Amino acid sequence: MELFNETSKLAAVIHKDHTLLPVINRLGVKLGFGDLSIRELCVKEGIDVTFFMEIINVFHNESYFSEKKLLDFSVSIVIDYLLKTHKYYLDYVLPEQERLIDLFLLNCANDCKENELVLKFYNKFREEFVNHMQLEETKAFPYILQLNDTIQNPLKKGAFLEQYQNFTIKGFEKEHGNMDEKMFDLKNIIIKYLPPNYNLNIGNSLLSNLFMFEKDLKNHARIEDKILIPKVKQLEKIIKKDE
Amino acid sequence: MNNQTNQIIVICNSDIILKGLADILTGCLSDKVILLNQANELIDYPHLSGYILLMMPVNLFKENEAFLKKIFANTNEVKHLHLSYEEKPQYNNTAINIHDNQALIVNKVNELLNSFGVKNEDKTINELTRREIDVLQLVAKGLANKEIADKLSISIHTVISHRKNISEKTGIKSASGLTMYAVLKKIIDIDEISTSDLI
Repeated sequence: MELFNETSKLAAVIHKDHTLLPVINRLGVKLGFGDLSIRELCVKEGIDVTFFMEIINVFHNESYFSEKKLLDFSVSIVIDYLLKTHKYYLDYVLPEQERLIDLFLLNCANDCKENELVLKFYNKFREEFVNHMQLEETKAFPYILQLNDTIQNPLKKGAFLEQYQNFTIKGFEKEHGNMDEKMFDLKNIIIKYLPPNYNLNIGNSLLSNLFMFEKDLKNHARIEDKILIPKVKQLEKIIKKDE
Repeated sequence: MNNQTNQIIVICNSDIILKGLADILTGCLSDKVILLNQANELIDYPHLSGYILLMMPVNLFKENEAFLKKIFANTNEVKHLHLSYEEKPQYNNTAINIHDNQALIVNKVNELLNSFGVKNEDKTINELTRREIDVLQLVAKGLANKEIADKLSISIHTVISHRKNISEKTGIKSASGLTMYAVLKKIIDIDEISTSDLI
């Protein structure tokens, strides 16, 4: 349950919790960093060290959440991180899961009807998930960035209010829980109910992948729901106050 | 044990005891462990639900009883395991002592965790009732709660309560997950549903 700090060596941090690997990549760090501390590394790579610390601590320790500190970050830095996370899901996680599910089905002995349900369930999940990310990228994030921009340049306010007359972030709030819920269901079905007529090692790889993905999804949703959305609500209030 | 999440909350003003317990509790079957120095920090956890195992010194518990009751209003069940510091403790399965060894602590904690949701010795606790199976069949066919209510001539409230129980017993929450469960358990026939739509 320890918290990492800026003077921790990143190598030691990764030895302690390797599930942080994709997280530090998204934050802009590649491996091969020798004995550098987190602070030294962030300075070298031009990364906001406070943001880096908060994200890895939030990810490492589920009960850690200093919402006040996190609300200090600009929305653009948060959105940049979220976009990189989406890209990681799209470019790596989803294709990898597909590959594993293909292997998973390949080894099924005779009647595969039941195993194929896994594929159908997954495809449906994937479709919803990709749509959800697209909606954020094409609707919610541009709105937020423009809102932020308008607060810094009050001259643009007229145009902003006209473009987004009836639009608020509220409409985007619900959905999240759904995604990690479905991941949990898929894991639980394989663990508890699916007849094990598949290659066990491949089944284990698939499950490990799903466990890690579920954790990542939960944290991703936590950052959106607990940091980004409250922040946007603050900004929306400021805009309305000036009216 | 059924499938609602269970969480352990430890409240103790000594960080040494908290960290030590955190280490020991990694060997327990809980979904989450929350460590706090003071009871009032629970105010930061407004959405606690499921089953809670609360570990704290008994005097601290008594001081905060009313507050704790409020905080745990939406949980299924709360059980207590008192932390005691006595030099020569008597064995007591509702308390752990600072001198207890690791195995004993893990045993006591797991025993309490396993007892959550089990009302009596009923082994069929996780089996679905006839009515729940009726509801599940219709969920799997893609019917909405309202439609299920009409079809079975029960109130929508009853449908929702059946669905909650089904999810608790099976550990599956989403409608598509339940469809998959129903097929795997042969509660409905795979050809009866159009899987491309429903799963």
